[in-house]
Amino acid sequence: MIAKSIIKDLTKILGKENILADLKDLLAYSYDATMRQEMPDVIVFPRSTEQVSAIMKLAHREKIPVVPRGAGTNLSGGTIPLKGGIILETSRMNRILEINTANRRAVVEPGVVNLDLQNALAPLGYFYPPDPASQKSSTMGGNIGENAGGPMCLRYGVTSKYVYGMEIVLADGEVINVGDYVEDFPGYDLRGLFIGSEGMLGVATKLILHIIPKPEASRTMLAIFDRLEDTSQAVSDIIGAGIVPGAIELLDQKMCQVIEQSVSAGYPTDAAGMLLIEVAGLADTIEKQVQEISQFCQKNKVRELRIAQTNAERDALWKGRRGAFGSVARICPPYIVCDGTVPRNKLPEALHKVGEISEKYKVLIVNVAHAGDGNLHPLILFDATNPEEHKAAKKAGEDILDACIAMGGTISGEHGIGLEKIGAMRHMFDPADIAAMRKVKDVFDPDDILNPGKMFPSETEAPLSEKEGVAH
Amino acid sequence: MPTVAEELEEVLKLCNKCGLCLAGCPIYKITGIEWTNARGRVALLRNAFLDKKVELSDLKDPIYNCLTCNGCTEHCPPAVPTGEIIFRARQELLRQKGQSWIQRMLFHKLLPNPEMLHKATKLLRLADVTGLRTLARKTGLTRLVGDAGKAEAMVPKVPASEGLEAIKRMVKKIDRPKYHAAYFVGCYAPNFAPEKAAATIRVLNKNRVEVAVPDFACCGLPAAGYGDMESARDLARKNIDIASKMKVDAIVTPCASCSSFLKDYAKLLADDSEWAEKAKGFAGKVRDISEFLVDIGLSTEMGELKRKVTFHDPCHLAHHQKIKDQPRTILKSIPGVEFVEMGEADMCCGAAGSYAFKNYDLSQKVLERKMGNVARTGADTLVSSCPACIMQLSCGVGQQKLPVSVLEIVELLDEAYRNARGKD
Amino acid sequence: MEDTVLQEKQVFYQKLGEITGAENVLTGEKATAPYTVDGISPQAVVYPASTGQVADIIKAANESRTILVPWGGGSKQYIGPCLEAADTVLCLKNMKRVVELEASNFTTQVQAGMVNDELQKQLAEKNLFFPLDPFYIESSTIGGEIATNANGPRRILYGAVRDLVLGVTVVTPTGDIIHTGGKTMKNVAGMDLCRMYIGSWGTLGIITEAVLRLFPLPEVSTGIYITFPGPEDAFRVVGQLLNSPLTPSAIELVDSVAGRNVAETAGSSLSDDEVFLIVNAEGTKGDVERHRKDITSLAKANKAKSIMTLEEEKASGAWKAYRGIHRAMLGASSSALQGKASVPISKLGDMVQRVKKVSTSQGVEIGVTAHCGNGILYTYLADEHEKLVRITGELKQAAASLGGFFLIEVAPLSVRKEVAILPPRDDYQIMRHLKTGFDPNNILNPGRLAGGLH
Repeated sequence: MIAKSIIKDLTKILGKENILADLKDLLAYSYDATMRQEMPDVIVFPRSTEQVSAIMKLAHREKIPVVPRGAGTNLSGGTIPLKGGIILETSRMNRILEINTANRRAVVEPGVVNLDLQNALAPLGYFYPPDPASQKSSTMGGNIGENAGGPMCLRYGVTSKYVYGMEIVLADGEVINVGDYVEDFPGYDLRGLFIGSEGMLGVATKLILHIIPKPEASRTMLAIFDRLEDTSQAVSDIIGAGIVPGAIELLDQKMCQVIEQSVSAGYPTDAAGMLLIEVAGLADTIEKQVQEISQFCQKNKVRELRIAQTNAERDALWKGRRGAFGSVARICPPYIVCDGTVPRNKLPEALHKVGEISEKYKVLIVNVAHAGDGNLHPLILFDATNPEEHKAAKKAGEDILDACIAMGGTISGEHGIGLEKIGAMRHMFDPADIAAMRKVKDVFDPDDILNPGKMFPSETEAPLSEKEGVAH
Repeated sequence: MPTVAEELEEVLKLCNKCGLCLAGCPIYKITGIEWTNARGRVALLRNAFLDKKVELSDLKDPIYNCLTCNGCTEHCPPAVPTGEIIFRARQELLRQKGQSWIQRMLFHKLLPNPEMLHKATKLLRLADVTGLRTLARKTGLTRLVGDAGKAEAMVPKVPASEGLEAIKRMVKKIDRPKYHAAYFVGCYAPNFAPEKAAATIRVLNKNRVEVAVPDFACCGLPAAGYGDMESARDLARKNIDIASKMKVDAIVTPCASCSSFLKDYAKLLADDSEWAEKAKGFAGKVRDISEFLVDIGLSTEMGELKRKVTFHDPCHLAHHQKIKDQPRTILKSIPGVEFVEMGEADMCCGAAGSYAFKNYDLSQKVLERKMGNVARTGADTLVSSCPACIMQLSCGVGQQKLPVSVLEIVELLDEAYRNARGKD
Repeated sequence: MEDTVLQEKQVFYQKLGEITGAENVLTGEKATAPYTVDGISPQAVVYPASTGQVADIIKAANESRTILVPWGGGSKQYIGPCLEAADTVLCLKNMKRVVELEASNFTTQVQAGMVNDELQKQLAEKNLFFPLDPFYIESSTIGGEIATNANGPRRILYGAVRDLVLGVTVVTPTGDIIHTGGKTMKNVAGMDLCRMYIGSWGTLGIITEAVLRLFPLPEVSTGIYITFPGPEDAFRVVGQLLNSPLTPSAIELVDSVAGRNVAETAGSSLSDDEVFLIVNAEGTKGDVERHRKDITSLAKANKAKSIMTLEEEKASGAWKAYRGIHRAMLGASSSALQGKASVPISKLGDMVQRVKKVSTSQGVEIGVTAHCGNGILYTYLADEHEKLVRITGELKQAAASLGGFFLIEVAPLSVRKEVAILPPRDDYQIMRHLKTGFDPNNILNPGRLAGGLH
């Protein structure tokens, strides 16, 4: 419950049409794509940096938690208001402020939807490479908070490569500019620290992005295999040869079946593994790339190779991939999505391990992966009404992350820690590592009002992910 | 009898909150508020029906300011039927609250009875002709009834017409017909635009279709949209009965909302043991005009039309019936027409039946966005295939002072066919 | 008082010997003179052999408040805000192993003291390379390059240090060993401390190991050396090149002042306003050939006076001459100044014009090189103190008016002590807090970076 005086102060800052605090409002902002649920106290919709600063000043003075939020599509509990407080919704700060192709820059407000930016750049022949599966709904601010990835990151790199500067409102309301419109800004890379900081270091109110010309040509291919081992080995071989396609996505049989139930993407439903490969480059040399990749597929006993002939076909293939998680929901709404990432030469081993874990705990696991980056997404399905199964699914997820760590990988390739993976932080990091991260948090937000309770294992309490709290 | 909660449990739990639906929601794009997108509406209804965390009566806005355009379901991988869920919720809310007298009059008296409806519009025409209507608008009297008053300005002037009877008189026998079709006229054409009905009949005749115009009543969508499923079912039975007495190849209509709802009669009466089969048979014969014409093979005896044309997809055509290609095939086949695709062509125009009467501002903002997309095409002709859309789009074009004619697809086709005859 | 300080120091030096072995601790003027920075000579130099040793040294330094100066190859010690004090130099030259090389993952983990060039040689045996090519790779260490965010021409294709380093092992100023990042291409677990340490100039901790992103050696590489009558023509080509799907591996501009050596080696000559545009392309034969064709057409269509495509041998000679400019320009005089301007990419041509204007109005020759795809420009000049101060002021104004900034890298100590080295920013305060948070006793490189943030 929040004091009426606070609502009054917020109304003075924003006007009453930009504040919500009814029961239905609080319920609507209590969840994100992870299906955890915690009630906030009020939701605010600032339209300017000044308003964001005023909100933070108020929150800082009254020690009220603030959770910055874009479209709430994150998969780690990043926008769950664990300690209540203010949801700072950026959906009304959604203007594209500048596109300058000669400078290779776009400047946007945090509420701009990723795909809207892409659509504004496309007619100019440019694009912004990070393309998370959520791109048609997720916001740039959210992308930066999680250091979002996406299939194209294989060739082009992740969000932190394409954000050059930001205007940030700090926990106490001060407005600073980190990074720059130009390169090689002096001082510490606060910009780099901010990216992937999951809304815990400040609120970004303006983003300076790096944009590049679209590739001259691209081809989308499907490679269909009879064995999962052949599928993952093909990836290893392609990458090992130094070929860098635009994207290589791996889907296993069950995942293809699930997708085809929801989206007619043209995926095979009887193949153990499938690769969706996008090749990008110059028109004169792209065929050679396609050939080389085909050869590696053939070396690994590919059953069939299909190349998309039209834009419509290409779009359909990608629609299937991007609808993967959502399609799983049709057969099993609650599922645990893992984001473990391994060095790419360990992909076959990692997938094999996932299979073993699936058998060990007797849970169904369907796989989709940004294979070229070693970024796995095993989706662990369970019957929400069966607590035993739920527990087994959780343990399976933990084992998968441990396996990734053991192979020299990481517990999160692109979804962030949020609430979901707090428990795994201790498996991956030493106390000194976490202490150093906490020190950074302390410098930016000594009162811990920005998205509190995320990322760091509590020093005294048991890890949150072990507590029962899933909403079904 | 299953409870509402039991009925909806499965579909409510289908949502995994991925948020892809946000990409297809015009209302969310305007407000930025979570409960104006499908994910939020479904979550709140789940909280109400299943978790008992909030009262349905506290959810009036999420329940009523949904366009039910189904733009969300297009993006939803598990295809959560949010539009249907909203309709069911409205029905439940209505059951809890009861209908207002206006609604009772509209759904129980006027729409089921074309003659009564015509008499009512004649009254409106009287208000038009005597200047009373303009006076009411200018003196702000209409604004006293809130959004409905504002939306009144969108309803066009009522022409002199004789309702359904006049349209029946337009029917004629044709030489060696290839097909026989029942023309579902709907509520709009007989009362507000009889010339469009005439165009429809001419176009069908031109394509060797002999037309019959029976006494079909309102299709039932307006009633269902308010949650009055009972009235909708009554209308459905009435229309099915009328059709059962005819021998036709198809039941054709140029109104996308009608064709969409008529096709849903099977679902609507699935639990009615007496009517379920007949409803299925009926629904199986329903065709949207573009769908029908492309199916039977469109006559290409057209004259030239020098127009730059763009098409707005009615929600009930594109999202509900998945008909997108056929209107474009038709438009691109007219000689002289330069077809240009507008951005967000299948995004709702904001009409959504009588949406504006309760949500005027939102309807206007959705319309504004549509007008921006229209203007950017540089087209001189905006075509659509639903009277509600046409009304809304005409209003928008007028407001923005765009040099654009707004036409039904049948009108454009009719013009093309008449141009050819002019050549002879 | 002084005696206790001296005593503490003696205890410290002894401790050093215990940690690394006495033979790895050097004292005395002869040993420490080469490690003089900004006029300050350290008392001792220590050469640890492992991360553990570095940690012990730093712990000991904290206890005795001894100021440490991390040292790699020393090639950038004279750059940036002045060092305030220095007791002991902690030199990593003995930590130069490849800890792990995973060719099929295209990563390697190396100790920070590994010299860049030496690493490249080892990687080449496996047909790999690390695409970081700042000025002095023959002497600069990986750790130093990371700490100073040292980039080179290849950044236009492969990215900067922050895109090429996947993780670093660091000893914090309080002696804790922390591991940041990892060896996967994508990693968002926790705060991105790896990015924080890149470009931190040895002020938040000492980098002892790094995981680097590798690439296969390109099949073919070529250099296209184009002479233009003036910078406007060159930048017109640059604009078109950047607006195309071509992906050159370097786009470098050299003016006639800075480019004397290059011109000769490339078999050409530059006069007055003429400039060299050097465009490198590397990759598959087909891709490189396409680049050569397109760039040559572009050049021809834009008044190019001469176009030379140099393959392999000749290319490496000319390229070496280009990369030798920094040393050549600064070695020529003890009152040399090298500054760096960073402006929006489309304004780089304007910046060159401004530099030329300043040069003319001040009557001083200013040599210019630029990374044209990144909006970065280096200026080289030499003159007496007052003039240098005045000119840097004008160059700062010019860059700022174009939406960028100008900072001073190499300069006579008198100049570096007088003028503001770094441009003004509004996030310096947080940076200072970061420094204080990690190094409460201010024992690492005091004055560097954070000290210059005003």
